[in-house]
Amino acid sequence: MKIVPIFEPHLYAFCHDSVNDEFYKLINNWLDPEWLENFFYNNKSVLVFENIKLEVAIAKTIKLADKLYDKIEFYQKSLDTQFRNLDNKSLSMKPLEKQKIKSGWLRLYALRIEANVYIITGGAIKQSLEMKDHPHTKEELIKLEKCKNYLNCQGIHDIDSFFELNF
Amino acid sequence: MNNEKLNKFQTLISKDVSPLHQKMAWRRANATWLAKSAAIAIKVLSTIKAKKMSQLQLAELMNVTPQQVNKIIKGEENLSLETIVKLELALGTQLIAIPEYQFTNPFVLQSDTPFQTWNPIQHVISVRNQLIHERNLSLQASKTLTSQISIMPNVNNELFYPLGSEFIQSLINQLPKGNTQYSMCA
Repeated sequence: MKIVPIFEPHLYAFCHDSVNDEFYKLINNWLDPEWLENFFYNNKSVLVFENIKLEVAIAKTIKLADKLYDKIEFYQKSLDTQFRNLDNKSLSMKPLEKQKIKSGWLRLYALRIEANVYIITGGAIKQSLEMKDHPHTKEELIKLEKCKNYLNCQGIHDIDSFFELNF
Repeated sequence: MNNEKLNKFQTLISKDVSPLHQKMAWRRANATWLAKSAAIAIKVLSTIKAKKMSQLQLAELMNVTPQQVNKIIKGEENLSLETIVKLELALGTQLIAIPEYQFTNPFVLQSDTPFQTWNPIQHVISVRNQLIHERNLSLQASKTLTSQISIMPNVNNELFYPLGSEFIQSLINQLPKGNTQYSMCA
């Protein structure tokens, strides 16, 4: 496992397979009409929920992906204003909190190392309120835990190291 | 973050460079045509799905490699007009269209020699009737020798259509030629 800088010193991304980092893989998929067609064809709940056609969903996702990158680049020094707690109901921030950033139905998941410093662990196209309910976002929860454990094993612990975040 | 933890964190950071920035910088520089390339890719994907056609079959119909088709549907190819037309023919669907210029104001049909040996109004009327009988045109011309005829759509007619450039050209094509040169201006 590697940690690749994206917008150093504020944003990084895990690289699970030693080929491409998670942020690049996500954006690449979200810009790919073929990948998106396959995704939405097999996950029609998004189309039903948003009441849109497949072609519109694909076009919208591509635009969202471009805008998401622009937004993160713009806010790279103040990511705390953009990321929020993974648990929508919780206002209190815990150290090494699982965070997510929203852009329409795109989701980025990250670990917060300290103020305005995040490591992206993965992402998904949001389909349900609770991450644990959907297989794709469930996988992301597992990745978050795996990354957190990796950092703990490397001596990066949440206690005394990370601040609570609330957004 | 205290120094010890900061040092630990920094030792974990790879020296690898994410390819993301280069990709997104390229996308920004080419944003205008990328939007159309993506729209074409989406249309191609939905059409081959509807026709139960494989990418390989599409490649064969277009006489290109499957790799080329795969590039097209990734939505980041700067497609040539030739490729777009090949796609349209293979898929049997229009992918892009050029709006026809339409005249809503009168245009003037001009001849380089005065209309003297034939009645231009009658001829234009017959051509009009021949070509587009549902359209209604008003014709104005001097009864004396003239080299100009004003032709305009009849806006009072419920079947009013703006005059398209294709119609105008068809009209000119059917006028008697000889050595006469015709032109039009809006």
